[in-house]
Amino acid sequence: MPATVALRTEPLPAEGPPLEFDAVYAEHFDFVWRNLRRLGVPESALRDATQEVFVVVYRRLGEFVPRGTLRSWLYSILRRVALAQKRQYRLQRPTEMQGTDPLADESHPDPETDAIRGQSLRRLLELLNELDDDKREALVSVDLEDMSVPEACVALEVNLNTLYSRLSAARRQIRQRLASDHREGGRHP
Amino acid sequence: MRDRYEEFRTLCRTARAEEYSKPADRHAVRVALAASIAAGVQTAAAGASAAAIAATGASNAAAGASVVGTKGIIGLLFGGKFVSEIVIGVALGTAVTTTVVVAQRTSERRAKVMDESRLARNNAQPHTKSGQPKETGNNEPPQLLQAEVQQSPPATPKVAEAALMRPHVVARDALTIAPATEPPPPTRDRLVEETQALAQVQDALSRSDPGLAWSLLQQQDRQFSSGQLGEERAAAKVMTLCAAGQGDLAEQARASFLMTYPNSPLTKRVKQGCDH
Repeated sequence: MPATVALRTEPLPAEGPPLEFDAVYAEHFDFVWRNLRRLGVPESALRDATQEVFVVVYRRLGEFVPRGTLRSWLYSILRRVALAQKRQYRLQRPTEMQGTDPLADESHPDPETDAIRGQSLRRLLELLNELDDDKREALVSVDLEDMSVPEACVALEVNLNTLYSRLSAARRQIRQRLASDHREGGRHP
Repeated sequence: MRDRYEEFRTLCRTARAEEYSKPADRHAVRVALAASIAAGVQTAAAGASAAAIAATGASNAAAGASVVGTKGIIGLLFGGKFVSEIVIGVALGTAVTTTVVVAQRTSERRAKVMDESRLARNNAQPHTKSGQPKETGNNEPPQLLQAEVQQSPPATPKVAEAALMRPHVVARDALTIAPATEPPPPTRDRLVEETQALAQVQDALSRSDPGLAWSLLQQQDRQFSSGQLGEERAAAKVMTLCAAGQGDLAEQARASFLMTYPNSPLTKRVKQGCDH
């Protein structure tokens, strides 16, 4: 199991040594990877999407001026990539987006690994999949990545009120869904 | 009554352990990323970032089209047979040095081996594939060329950066990787040239002309004696001999390949030999 990636949480200094791409890549690969998945990028498109994020990072890193944190900047990139990838995926496979296994990777079938991995993750993604993109991005950034609200505002390019509103709505929807599952006789399969 | 949202938070914590990328994923992304950067592939994914990027050249409207290295080149090289399992990449460094690798996702062991080759940066040490003998110079079948992967003369970071800032033609497949206006730096030129040459081999094979394929391979061994695709050429020779109906020679070539490149991601394909 890979060690937990320590994510930078403090605001980056406005002045300081330039960020090194390799260091950013090594430190934040899993951050990008898991959040692309959380934001709905299909498993089969995760590699492409992650690559895209880092292509942008590579090209833009020298121009990065920290208004928030590095990860809020990364999140702002990856959320756009996620939206683009989902759009692309829907266009290519218009009938396959609904009801599919969020962890299924038809381009790299690996039943053994997939079977071992992911009951909790599968359940989490199912819940996230029911949120619209705005709520999902807010919930993932704050409640799953533990970003501060100001940090998430930078990442999502929204103001505080908007973020709180989306966050509140997302949490409410999750609660309702879980309560509904319990009423219907136990946990979701 | 238990707070349902606390249940959700617990689920998030539990799922976290299942969210890590696999070594094969990290490796595949790394080499594809390096290939994309080296090839100057554009991406239109990230809004304002993309707009700024697009200003340097043509934009790429298709978000998924950035994986030029993973799908385009290999699709050409092997007629699509390997498309889903192969990644071709260029190791990224400040020198934009090149190492072409082919990765098959489902083998964790192989991926682990390959993952040990880190992103090359600030390190212009000549790169060889561990455990592989140096080039023998023997071009005759069935003894396959054992091409040492050597590093091209390191380019400066400024050269690499200049390569990225030039206008580029969007690459949707390998053959469209081409600079729009200016000549690319030598390192990139060489790899593209070598890749396109290898694509000609596949083209000959797809036209059921193993004789031509073999001639091309011999020629390329000489032309790219210190090139990056020796391993791929060695694998292509196995397929060429199979296509030529030279089962015995193919078997010898196959055995030689497996001995020379025991950790090659192409092993599975080559092991199939003429049965494929």
